[in-house]
Amino acid sequence: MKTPGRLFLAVLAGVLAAGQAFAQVRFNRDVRPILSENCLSCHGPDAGKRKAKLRLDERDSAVQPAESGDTAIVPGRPEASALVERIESTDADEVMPPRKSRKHLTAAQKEVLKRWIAEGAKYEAHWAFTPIQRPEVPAVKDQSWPRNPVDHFILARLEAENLAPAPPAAPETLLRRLTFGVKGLPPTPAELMAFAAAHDEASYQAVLGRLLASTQYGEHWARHWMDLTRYADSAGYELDYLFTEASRYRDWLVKSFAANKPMDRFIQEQIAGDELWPGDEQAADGVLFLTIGPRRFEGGIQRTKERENEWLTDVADTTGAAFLGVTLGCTRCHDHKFDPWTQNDYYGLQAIFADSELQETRVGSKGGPGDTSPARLRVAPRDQPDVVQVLRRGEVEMPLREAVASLPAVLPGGGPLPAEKQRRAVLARWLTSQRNPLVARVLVNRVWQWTFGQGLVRTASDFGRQGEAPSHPELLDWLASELIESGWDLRHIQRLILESATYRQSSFSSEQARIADPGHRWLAGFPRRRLEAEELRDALLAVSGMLNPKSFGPPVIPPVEPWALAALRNTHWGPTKDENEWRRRSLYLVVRRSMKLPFLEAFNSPDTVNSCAGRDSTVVPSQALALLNGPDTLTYARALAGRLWTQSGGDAGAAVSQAWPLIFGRSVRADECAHALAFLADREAEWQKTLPEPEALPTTISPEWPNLPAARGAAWVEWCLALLNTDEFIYVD
Amino acid sequence: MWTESSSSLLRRRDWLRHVGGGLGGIALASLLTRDGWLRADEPAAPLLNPLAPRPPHFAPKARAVIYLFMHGGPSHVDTFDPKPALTAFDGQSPPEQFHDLKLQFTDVKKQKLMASHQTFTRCGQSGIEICHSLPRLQQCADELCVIRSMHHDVFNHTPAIWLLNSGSPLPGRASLGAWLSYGLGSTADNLPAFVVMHARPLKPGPGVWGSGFLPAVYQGTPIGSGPTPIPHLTPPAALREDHQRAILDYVQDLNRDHAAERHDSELDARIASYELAFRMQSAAPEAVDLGRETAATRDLYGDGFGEQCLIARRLVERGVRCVQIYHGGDSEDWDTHGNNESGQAKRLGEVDQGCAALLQDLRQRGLLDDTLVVWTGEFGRTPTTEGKNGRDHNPYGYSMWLAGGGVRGGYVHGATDELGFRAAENPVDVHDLNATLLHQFGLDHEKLTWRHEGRDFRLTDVFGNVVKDVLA
Repeated sequence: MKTPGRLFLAVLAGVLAAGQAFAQVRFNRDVRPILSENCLSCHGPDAGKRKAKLRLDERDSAVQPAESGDTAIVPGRPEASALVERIESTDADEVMPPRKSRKHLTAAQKEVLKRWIAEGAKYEAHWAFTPIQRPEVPAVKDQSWPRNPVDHFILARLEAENLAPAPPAAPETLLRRLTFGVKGLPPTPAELMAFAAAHDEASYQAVLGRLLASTQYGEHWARHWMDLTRYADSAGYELDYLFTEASRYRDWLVKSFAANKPMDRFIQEQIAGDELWPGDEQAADGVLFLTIGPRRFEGGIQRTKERENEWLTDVADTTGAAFLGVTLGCTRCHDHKFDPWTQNDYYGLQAIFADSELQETRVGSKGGPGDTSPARLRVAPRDQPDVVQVLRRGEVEMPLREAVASLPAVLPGGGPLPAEKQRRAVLARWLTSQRNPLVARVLVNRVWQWTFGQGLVRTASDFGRQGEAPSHPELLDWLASELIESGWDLRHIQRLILESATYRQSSFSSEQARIADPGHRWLAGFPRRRLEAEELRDALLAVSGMLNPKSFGPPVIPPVEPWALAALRNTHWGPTKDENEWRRRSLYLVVRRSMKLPFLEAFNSPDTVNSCAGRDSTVVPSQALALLNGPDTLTYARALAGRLWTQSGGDAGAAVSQAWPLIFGRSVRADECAHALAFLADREAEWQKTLPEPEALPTTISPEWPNLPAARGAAWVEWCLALLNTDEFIYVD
Repeated sequence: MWTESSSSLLRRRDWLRHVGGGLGGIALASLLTRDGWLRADEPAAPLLNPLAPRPPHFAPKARAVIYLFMHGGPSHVDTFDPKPALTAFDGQSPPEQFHDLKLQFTDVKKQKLMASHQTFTRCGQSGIEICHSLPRLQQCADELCVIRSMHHDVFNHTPAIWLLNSGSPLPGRASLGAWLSYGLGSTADNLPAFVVMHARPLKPGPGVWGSGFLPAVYQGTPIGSGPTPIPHLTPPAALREDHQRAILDYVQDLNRDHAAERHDSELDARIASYELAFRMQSAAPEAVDLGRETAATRDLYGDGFGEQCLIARRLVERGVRCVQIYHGGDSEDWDTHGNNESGQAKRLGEVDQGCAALLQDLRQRGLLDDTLVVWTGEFGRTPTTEGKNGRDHNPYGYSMWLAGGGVRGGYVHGATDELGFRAAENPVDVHDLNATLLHQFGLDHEKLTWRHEGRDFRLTDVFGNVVKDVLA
């Protein structure tokens, strides 16, 4: 080797996980990312695209002499390995990766590969495909900080990074974080007062228990799950007719979370509730998961074969993404370029679902190509499973061979299915078996993501080789084994996380942590987050006193602005008659695939065509316009002003004192109070100058405002509108 | 490795101008410390001001695109691809070699060849043949680069419109305008980077100008004419516009207090976004106010589609990157399954003046050199009949045109077979087209990627070659 050893070590330390010098190169941690990014698209699992018959992702192939007589990797002998010669070549025709691939190995990456070969070129299975093994809880220097094992894992890493955890969050901050995190709603002022009055461990535990036992918790976490299962109440595409049963699946989710249904059963019911528990109404609602995907065909086209294939594609892709956390979708057209999934795996999974069919009955149908009547949905077993073809490039017209119903061959328990019938039941049991390495890991990672804003694996639906490695692999496995050992008790996992000192940290992290860890990977502080679209709307309803807390039932169709409907071909948009329904939590509003509700869309509501692994949180002017000028915000501001007026008896000082806990979850400071009073006085004087007719005032629709001077009422509405536009309301510390 | 250069300093100033108006010193200082610009081929977009201008991969020819989309499928054999053989064999059965074409509603072998009733004229110095229903566009022939060999195999409207707009017949991908906004950022101070106009509902819905898996910030903003060109651009009637600044100042006071102790660049960006929103309220109505144009200009463009073209020019002048105008839809569609002759003539009559005015006006103002104009439908129509006198969809060979933005004017690229069924010479598919459009903006379609579900996605999927012949 040309590189002096000392320099090499310094370079290597920079490449490897920061701050730690490792004795040995590890394949999964150090080598695989380099191969995956630079080599495997031509020398990987995809047989169709493989060049020179060389495969580098498997040791057996990589150490075999090629036709040319060269051997890519000679373990222990980098100088004899063709791979090393090619990556170090300065000849434009010889060098790997080839120039035209526009890929490039750094000097440090080349050194890692050479050293790995020198040390024997040991391969490891991809971490996510290896069995879950319960790791030891690591030792930490600061024994006083951890509250439970979760904290040991987090603190061990922080100590390795020379970072200190942030101090605990203030009680009122913690309660607001906890209430939004568990219920997706703000705490009430009464809850705040009670919590602040008795802030000890017992009261924290009591609050936690109360929150986790609420139906609102079920609603908030159902909404998370609906992202994964591409929930919508309509078919999408051109006709976008409504599904009458989708909301039963949504309600099943709410009830399942609220009742803390064991997660193995939760998964089984969605995949095969009808096969495993025939006649069970609950299980029948869970399996509606399979029926609510998008319909990607057009009016006038009646190709049964294509429809059938679209359904199998939807359920296979969504199952892969949501439960297994892998991108099987790629293998619809070709063997996976980076992961060991083959087309046989993919169509084998489709063949599992082919033991059943999607039945759609249009209700009140008049027939014809433009039929937008709603559809009743059902998964029904077939007498004989349908034959699924492996398709060239995913084209129905290009069948290659008959697919065999099978579980992914690379995973434990994978391979052809023993049973001819009830194939989904076999899949459901396999997913939730102790041996499945993915499902529990993927699930606890999602819980982490929905609590901290990002997962331990940030690519939450890609645990494959192109996905990101976990920040805390041992913690992930510890939580996954804890989930399985507890009998798939989700609430047990949530309690572990929510009780931890990690969760209770302040979001005001130290300057050192902000510089060393801007992405919050090591969690030296709680990552601040913006409310998600539904949370924001629900919070606006809650603080203004308008929220209709009713749970369950068919989707509510709220009125929308005409410009939003203008682009919709098949409008059929008839708002729900009872206006009180419009004020229900956002998860009960209709989800139309062809048109997102404008307010929710402005705040990054999810894709409904494919499984959505996580929300965007963009910062764009259209959000400001929606909150400042949107028709709904004025309604909320009016109601909030009326509420504060009534509660305070019209006393501005009292209203300010009440507004802060209600909206921001904390008491107002003296300077903020003075600022607010000055603003109110200034606004009232401004309205007084040119007072419009009563019907032109922003206050006209509040019958509960007795004796309100017109200019003052208008000023209060403006003030409330301002408060609802603030970052302190929209963000959670 | 990205290194600071004079050009990036210039961009930094642009960027500060973009986000900076009305900001307090604290927010500005922390914005300055944060990289808001990335190269177009960096995998991840910055969360903070994702619309900050970003340099292209190589020197661009075009700065803006006005994309005129004819919803429903204009007939190529009746517009830009005259077929004497079709006239000669009018009413006869089509040759066997075309019998296997998969169409939506008709079976080729049961149909008859149908001649066009259009008269074609060789126009301008280039002699490009254009039908008689486009008399004003005939005057612009030397600006046009007509591609007669467009083709794909998606024969239904909805998936074909998706394909043209996003490179995939299935929903969920990002539109061309979204890719451009992501790749290059915005140069419009007070307006969105990507603006959409449509008079009627579209078959696939608004997703076709969406951002798909790209961040939502890159999606198109639909505008109309009238008092609310952009949603929520004016306060509700009960709130007074002249009070808004005071309300906003109070909001920003509270936000600055909140941000000051938190050291979080996202909060600073949010403060900036409120200022841009405030500026858009006055800038956007001005941009679409055609009362500010001379009578001569307004006459040049005419009503309806022409007005939308005029708005497009005004937006491009104000730095908007991509303006997409959809013409047709609903009962006023290009989808002439019956009465092809009169139906196509009516649609052509609606767009002729606007198209010609746009090209002439852009040329006269010196804007055509770096403004790319695209005219296309989702497919063409069959040379054969549907029913008595209609034409079915034909994606296997059809015509479109480009103008300005560094493309070769007065040029016809490619050809269909003698009857107009299939692209026969120099075929151009949708990915080739999109690769070429991106190329004119200085973007390499293979390098403009977004990591999603473990894969680097492109507008052109894994296909596409820049059509060098159409470049000036």
